[in-house]
Amino acid sequence: MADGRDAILVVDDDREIVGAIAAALEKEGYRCLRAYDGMEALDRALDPGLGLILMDVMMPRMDGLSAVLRIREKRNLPIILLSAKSEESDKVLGLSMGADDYLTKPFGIQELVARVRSQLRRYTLLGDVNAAPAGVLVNGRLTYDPDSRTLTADGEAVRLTATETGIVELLMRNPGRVFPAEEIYRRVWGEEAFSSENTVMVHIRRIREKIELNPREPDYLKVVWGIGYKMERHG
Amino acid sequence: MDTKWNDTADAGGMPVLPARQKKKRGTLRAAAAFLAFFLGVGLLVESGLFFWANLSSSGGRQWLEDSFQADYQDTREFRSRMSNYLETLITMGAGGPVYGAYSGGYDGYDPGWATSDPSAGAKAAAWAAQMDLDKNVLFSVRVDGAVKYASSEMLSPPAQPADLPEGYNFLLLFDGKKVRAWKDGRELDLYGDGYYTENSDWYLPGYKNFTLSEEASKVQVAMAVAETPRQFIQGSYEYGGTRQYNQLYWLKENLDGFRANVTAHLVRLGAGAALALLYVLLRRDKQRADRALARGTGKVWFEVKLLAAALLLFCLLPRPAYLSEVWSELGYAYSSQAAYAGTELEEMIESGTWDSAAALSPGETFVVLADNGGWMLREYLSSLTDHPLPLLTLFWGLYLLVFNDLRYNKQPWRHGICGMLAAKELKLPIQRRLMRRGVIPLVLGLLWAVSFILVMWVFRDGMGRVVVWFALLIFGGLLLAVLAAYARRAQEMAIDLGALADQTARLRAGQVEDPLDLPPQHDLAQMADDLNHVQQGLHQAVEERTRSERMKVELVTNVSHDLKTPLTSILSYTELLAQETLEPPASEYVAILNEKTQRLRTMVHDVFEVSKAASGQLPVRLEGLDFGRLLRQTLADMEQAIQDSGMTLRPSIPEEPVPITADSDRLYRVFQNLLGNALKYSLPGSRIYLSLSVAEGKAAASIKNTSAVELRPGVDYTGRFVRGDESRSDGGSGLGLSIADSFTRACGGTLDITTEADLFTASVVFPISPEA
Repeated sequence: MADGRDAILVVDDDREIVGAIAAALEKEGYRCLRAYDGMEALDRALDPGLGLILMDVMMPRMDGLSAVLRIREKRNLPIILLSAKSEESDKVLGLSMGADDYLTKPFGIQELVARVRSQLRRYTLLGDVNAAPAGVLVNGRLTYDPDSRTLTADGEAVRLTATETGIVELLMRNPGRVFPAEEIYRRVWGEEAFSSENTVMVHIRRIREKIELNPREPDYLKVVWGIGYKMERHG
Repeated sequence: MDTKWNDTADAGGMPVLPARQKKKRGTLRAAAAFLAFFLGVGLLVESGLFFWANLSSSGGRQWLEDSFQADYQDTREFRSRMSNYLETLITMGAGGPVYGAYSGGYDGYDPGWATSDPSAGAKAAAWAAQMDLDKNVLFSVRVDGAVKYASSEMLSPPAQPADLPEGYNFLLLFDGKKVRAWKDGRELDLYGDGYYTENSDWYLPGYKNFTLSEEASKVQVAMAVAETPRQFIQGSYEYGGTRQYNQLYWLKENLDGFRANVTAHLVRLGAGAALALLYVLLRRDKQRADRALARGTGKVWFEVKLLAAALLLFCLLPRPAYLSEVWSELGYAYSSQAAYAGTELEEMIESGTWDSAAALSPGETFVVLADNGGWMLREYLSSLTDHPLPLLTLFWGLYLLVFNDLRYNKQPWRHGICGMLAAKELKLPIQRRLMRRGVIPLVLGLLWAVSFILVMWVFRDGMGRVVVWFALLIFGGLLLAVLAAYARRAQEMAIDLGALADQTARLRAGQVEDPLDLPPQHDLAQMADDLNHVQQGLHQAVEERTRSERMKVELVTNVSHDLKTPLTSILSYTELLAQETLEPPASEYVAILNEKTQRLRTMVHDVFEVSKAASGQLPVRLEGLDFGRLLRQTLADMEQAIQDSGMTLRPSIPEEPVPITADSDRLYRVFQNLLGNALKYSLPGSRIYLSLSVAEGKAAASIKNTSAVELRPGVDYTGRFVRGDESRSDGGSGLGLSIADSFTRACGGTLDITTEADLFTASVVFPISPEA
């Protein structure tokens, strides 16, 4: 990494999980620190070269959420929670405690690596985001510049077709709002459609493949079943 | 009880005493309070009855007034006696007939026994001779100036008070027109305003409205009365003993005696009032004594007490012998004489063996009672006052046996023969109990009717009649008592039945906490008890289920963690392995491992979804959505899978919105599973029909497909780990339909699976929500 803060702290009371994650990350060229409970994580978190923390929630001595709270007092770095709890409420709680992402066990190692990479890129790009020119639309990992009609995810440009760009622009301009397929079709294609659902769905799926870390469980481009499609609003 | 005594004692500011001493003092106080009540009420009742009996009539009040006069000659009674004397003496002078004695008791003026000559003259002479023996009143009767009858001391009658003999201070002179009287030398005003009225003291000739016949005008009478009356006795042994002639002596004695009696009763009244006041002050202690007594009487059978009370009533209530005589005479006076003239009855009347009650018809009896009832009742009550002691005994007996018993012993009739029978009855099944209740009054009613017939037509008189009357009374009383008891029972039962019905309704509504408590002697008590047991059983079952649900949820959470952690390791290392360059067959093994691990991951995920849904822990976010759009979106989403499967999908979804309320993500999972199932298990190349129809406020989406394998009938496909083909071991967890069913229900819809031959139909039905 540019600033040398490329070390990743992996915290889990299950040593084999820590081992697997570390192996996968080291393969990608990251340096890994290991901790097996919350207290140990607090010690390791002081390492100045630390760029990201992967934190299990249920651990002995000190649980992950408490550790995240304590670490947040001192350090500003991305934290991804790993948890066996898959409820929406657990996820919301974790994110409100100061975590940047939440990954439910059991997870695929590829997805984990993708999320780590995404978080690290976002944090290094933070300065650029703040300096984003007026008129640029920012939503979490995604940035859309209407002037150049370009979308970037984690700072990397995403190659979209003209139709896909139209859909992305409509949704990025109205994050959180649910659009029925007919409206998307009318506004992007500019004509009335008799059976638009399939067409829109195909495009949505394609965009997802390009911007989502796990297209099967999208974080941004979501289908609201029975109503329409929306761009989830992210902080 | 004991602690309560001590509490009251302490509250009264008594010094703190050892418990035993306190208890002893409490007992003493209770005894004293009860004694005060006992004596106080006794004295009050006794003296009260005395005053009521003596003062309730105007004569009684007059007599009381007289008794408190210092001089007996100042009394109204004395004036009345003097008037009577004068009337007799004038009658004797005028040659009229002299009747009987003037008063009973010790006085014996009765010319009837002194002479057998019935002529008026002879009687008057015998009368005068007897009067001469009573020296308290001296008299002389002259006709036209000649002495006709006179006391031996009054042969020359005094003309003025100064002529009175020694010891006499009252002079009365009748000159043929008017009467003059002197007492202690002073003349009395006899006539007032000159007219006689009912209220006049003296009943004498000489009023303007009280004139005399010519014969009577010739009579002159003089009477001298002694200042202090004495007793005068004559030993008339030839008639078998002594006789006394002392009307005025006994008048004075009676007045003095009555005065003493009144004074004594006033004292008793005062003492009674004081004791009653003491009782009022100590009424808490007395209540304790009452309770103690009630504890004693509570041990006695109720029937024994009842019998004792009846005996007391019978023995101690003064029997109305006097009234029966009055009744006889009234019956005689009222019954039509012609009815029995010349019959045996007439002889019976003559001989006094006549029973008047038998002679009076019911109508006549009613007339007699209506005319004289009040008077007879007063007579009877005043005759009661002559017997204060039995009356008090009766009062105390009834107080102890009935009043106090009923007051402090809860339902004392429970302890006794009837109570035991009732308790025994309760052991019978309820239907037999209720049937009996019809029979007993019927039997009693029949007995009563028989007695009534007997008393009316068979036993018209004699001893048998009395016995049957008695039977009539007893059966009637028993019948009434039994009917009253059963009426109360019926009322109780009505209330209990209502309570039971309410309780059952509550039970049905799922309220299993409060039991219904009926008193054990109630008819439906057993039923209520049984219901309580059922309720308790339900309560336990519900609690058990709640607990087990909670445990299940906890188990799921724990197992979830314990399963997911090693699965994460397996998944991660398998992926790491897959990234390594491996020689066959190791690379093939890793590929298999990878595939199976992914399947395990899906299964674990599904198992927890189903468990959560089954224990009601599945969070749902309900919102209004378009059912048709949801289906179209699902089809679009699964387009690739449909194409890959080689099946043909035939959708039939209306364009217009079908609004329902559901959880968007959950309902998508439902159709994802249903369609996934259809794609997976359909006969290759066959058609799958997806249709959405709206009817009767409901939207039904159905998926029909032809199964590749033969469907076994009677299988609940929504059960967990159930598959159409037991032998198959493909990618499914066997939870797809189970999840679909749980999610549909969590959203408020229903999932129906029907199979007909090899046609598999899944239909999801939701109520249409009103257009927003």
